Amino acid sequence: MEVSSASEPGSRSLAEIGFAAVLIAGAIVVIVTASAYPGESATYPLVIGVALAGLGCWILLREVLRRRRGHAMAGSFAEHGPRLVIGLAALVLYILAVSQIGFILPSVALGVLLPASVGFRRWGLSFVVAIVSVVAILLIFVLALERPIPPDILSPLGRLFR
Amino acid sequence: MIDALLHAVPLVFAPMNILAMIIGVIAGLVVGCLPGLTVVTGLAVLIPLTFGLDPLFALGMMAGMYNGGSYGGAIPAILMRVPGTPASVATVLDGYKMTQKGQAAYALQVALLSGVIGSVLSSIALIVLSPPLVSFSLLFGPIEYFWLGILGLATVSSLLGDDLPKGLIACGIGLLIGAVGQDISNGTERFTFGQLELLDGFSAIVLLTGLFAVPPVLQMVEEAVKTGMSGDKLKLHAQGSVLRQWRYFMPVWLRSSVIGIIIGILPGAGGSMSSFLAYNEAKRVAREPETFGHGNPEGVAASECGNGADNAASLIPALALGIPGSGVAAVILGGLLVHGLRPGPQLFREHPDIVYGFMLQFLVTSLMLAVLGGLAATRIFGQVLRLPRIVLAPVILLFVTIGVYSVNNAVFDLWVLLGVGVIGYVLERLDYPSAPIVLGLLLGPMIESQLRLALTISGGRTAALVSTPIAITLALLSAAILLTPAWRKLRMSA
Amino acid sequence: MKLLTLVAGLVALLAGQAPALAQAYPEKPIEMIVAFAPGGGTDVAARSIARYMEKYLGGNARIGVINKPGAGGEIGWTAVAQAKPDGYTIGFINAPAINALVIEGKAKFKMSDFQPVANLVYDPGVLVVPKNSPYTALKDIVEAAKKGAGAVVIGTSGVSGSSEHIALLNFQRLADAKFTPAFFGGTAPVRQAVLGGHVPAATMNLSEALQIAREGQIRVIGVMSADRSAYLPDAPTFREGGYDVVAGATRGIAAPKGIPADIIAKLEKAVDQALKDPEYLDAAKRAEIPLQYLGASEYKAFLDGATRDLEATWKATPWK
Repeated sequence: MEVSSASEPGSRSLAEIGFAAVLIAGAIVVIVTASAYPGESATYPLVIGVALAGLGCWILLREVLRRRRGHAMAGSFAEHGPRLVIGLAALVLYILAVSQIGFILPSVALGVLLPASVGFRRWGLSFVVAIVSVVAILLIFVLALERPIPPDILSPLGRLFR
Repeated sequence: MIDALLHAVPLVFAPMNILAMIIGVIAGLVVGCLPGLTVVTGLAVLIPLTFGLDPLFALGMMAGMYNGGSYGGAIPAILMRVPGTPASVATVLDGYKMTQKGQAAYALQVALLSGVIGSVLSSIALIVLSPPLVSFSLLFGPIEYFWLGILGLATVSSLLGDDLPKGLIACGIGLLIGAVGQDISNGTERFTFGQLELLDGFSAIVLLTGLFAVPPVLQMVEEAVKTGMSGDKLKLHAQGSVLRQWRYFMPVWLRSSVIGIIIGILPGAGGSMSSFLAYNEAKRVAREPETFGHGNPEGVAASECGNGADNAASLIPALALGIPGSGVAAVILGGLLVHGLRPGPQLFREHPDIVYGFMLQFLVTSLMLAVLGGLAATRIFGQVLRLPRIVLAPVILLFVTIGVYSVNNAVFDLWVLLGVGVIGYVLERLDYPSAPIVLGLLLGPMIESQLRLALTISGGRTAALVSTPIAITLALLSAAILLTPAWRKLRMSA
Repeated sequence: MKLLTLVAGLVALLAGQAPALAQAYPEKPIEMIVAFAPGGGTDVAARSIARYMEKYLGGNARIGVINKPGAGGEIGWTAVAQAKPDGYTIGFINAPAINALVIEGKAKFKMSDFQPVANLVYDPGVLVVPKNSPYTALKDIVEAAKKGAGAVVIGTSGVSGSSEHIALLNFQRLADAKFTPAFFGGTAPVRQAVLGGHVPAATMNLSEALQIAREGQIRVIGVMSADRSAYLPDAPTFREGGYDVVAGATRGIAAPKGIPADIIAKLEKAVDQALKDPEYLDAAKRAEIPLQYLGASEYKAFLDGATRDLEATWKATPWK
């Protein structure tokens, strides 16, 4: 994504407005939800909600006015759009996979596939790093600290090796 | 006391107990530098294992773990922008900037020595000043805690960044997140949306990790840098030696230690507040406050020194009264009880050698940290940074994921991590500062609940809020902190 | 592939599988769910007893303590109630907090979803005042409360609906007076508040007040147990003061209902033997843990009784 010139507002400026709008909407939800709470529980969130709504309007109006005057926030929102999408997708898929089939396999996959998907092709290195990380995690968390890991499809395999 | 100390010396330096302290420091470094894992977790696992052992062996491990863990959090904070513990958030601000400037090794050394100085002074305070400090801590009731919370929140003024409304929004978001969960005084469920997991509110560690660890990972993917940091960035030569500059750091160290010790002895305030207050104070009195947040070593020094000074001090009310000054102190109390050491004044009478031995162990482990911490940070942890950055990104994510999961053993928290991480990324892209969110999150609940307690106890009279000298002092201090930046601006323009 | 073998070995470790030598229970690790965070009182109790239970369950018995904190215990207790009743998931439950949750009608479980195994700890509630307080007995504080309605503030370490709050409501009803509860949400802050004289009175559990009471830094004006505690024999009970308030916190082990009777018996016996282990007993005594063993059937009767009492209180004065 190219850096936009000042005369033509880039995605950064839009994101600025978009986020402020989301913030105001969120603040309104907070205010509405909190009004239903009994008196002393409601005061604190109400005050914050109102303040956030006000500050959100400030940011929103400021950016809108700046656009009118022709000096909107320059630049684009993401540093590299396509790779950001890859990163986000990887993040969502990874968490989803961990919640479904456990920690070990998705972690190794993430360690190898994420670098590869943005053009890193030293497979051996990324594979070794992924394996070493997973082993280190299992040693520290499971063995030393007795912390459980998410339910893993590999756990039953453990029986075979004992 | 001198007598008891002398008696304790040979016990503390018995070979087995030295070993225990070394193990403790190393274990502390490990749990501290892994986001999501805390010293509390490490100690909880350790305590039942020490059942039949010599008390000083067990206590030495605990002291080592406490000191090691508090510095451990700074390592990933400085090197990767991922705070290992809530207390190292303020360290990120300048520490990571220093790494970006190629001063990683120097930043680590500043953090380490500042932490050690803080811990040492705090241990000395524990040994020498326990009785008077205890009576001071008892002067704090709900009214005083309310103002202490306000004082902590006032330090937000030094964290707001260049864009005032954005800084305030960040703080507001933090305060709002802090309000999530069940209201303890009437059971109202606020913003839980029927989720059982949210009844106790969001877990601070989960939020913090999402907020700070996920955005840099996404950024690494975007940048797709296929090389790592060059090895000499991790060597100290030509980056300066902290020891030689002790004159420069001394004022920061002294101020931060005093702040850390005072906050430490107040149960319920805690490490993150010490580091923020110390950071704020260093910035407030600095000649060029605008350099803070852009890689000023004093920022790292203040934050880590305040954090280190909090440790031993938080044991003062724990040992003398049985009131733990922090989550870690609470677990250590549990560990003492297992060994039949019941906290309170009689502990000092009945087991002086053990009490003073334990205090000495705090001192000794602080000094051990100076050696072990430095080795761990540059020789082991630092070398990881030499991996290509794009390979490092998934590694950070793996550790963060498992760390966050193990906080509550709940998959729910992984989704929170994801959500908060994405929001954190957006905020960062739009130049909203992250630190005020943390401050709001940690202090909001304290301010609200203490205010309501104070009003309940006073029967609703608001005048009670300024009825004690400490309350008035804290209120005035808060005002001073809030007004300093404005006053500075006024003076500059005049 | 050495690496693979290593991984496999680790997987084996994490599964912690004991070889299936004997066909007897337990042939794989038992999960012990603790509904509170690591380092808390229940967690420490669980981790300690688990080591001795392993010893008495025999063979290669392993018990892994798993913390599922949140929602005042509700998350962990739900996990216990919904677990497979095969004896490999057990958990710590805390009466009467757990009973209160059920009576409020919000919990996803009923008390009958649990099969009680054994109770370990009974820690009675106490009412304490600062050392220079004008109140020396229960009747003083009741009189003061009657003079100005709601004028006496009592700090509690719990939240609204906690066992302490409910005990306070009972006391109020029996004394025909009104107190104003101040919820501190934790033991440490309320203890500090009463030591520093920031609240006129406070409730907490006996074990939390023992040390500072012996030192004379606070005064215990009432213990909510049937008899005086051996750890603090000078402190009068509520009954002696003329108010029949008996309340306290318990910690016990339960399993999901439907678990085979012989497994319950095994677990029950292991707890009993663990509690009698000299090493454990010694540590517990030194730490002054108020141990009170109840076997499965007694424990069940106790839990049923707690539910009945709470239902009556809920009808008279709902706490939420």
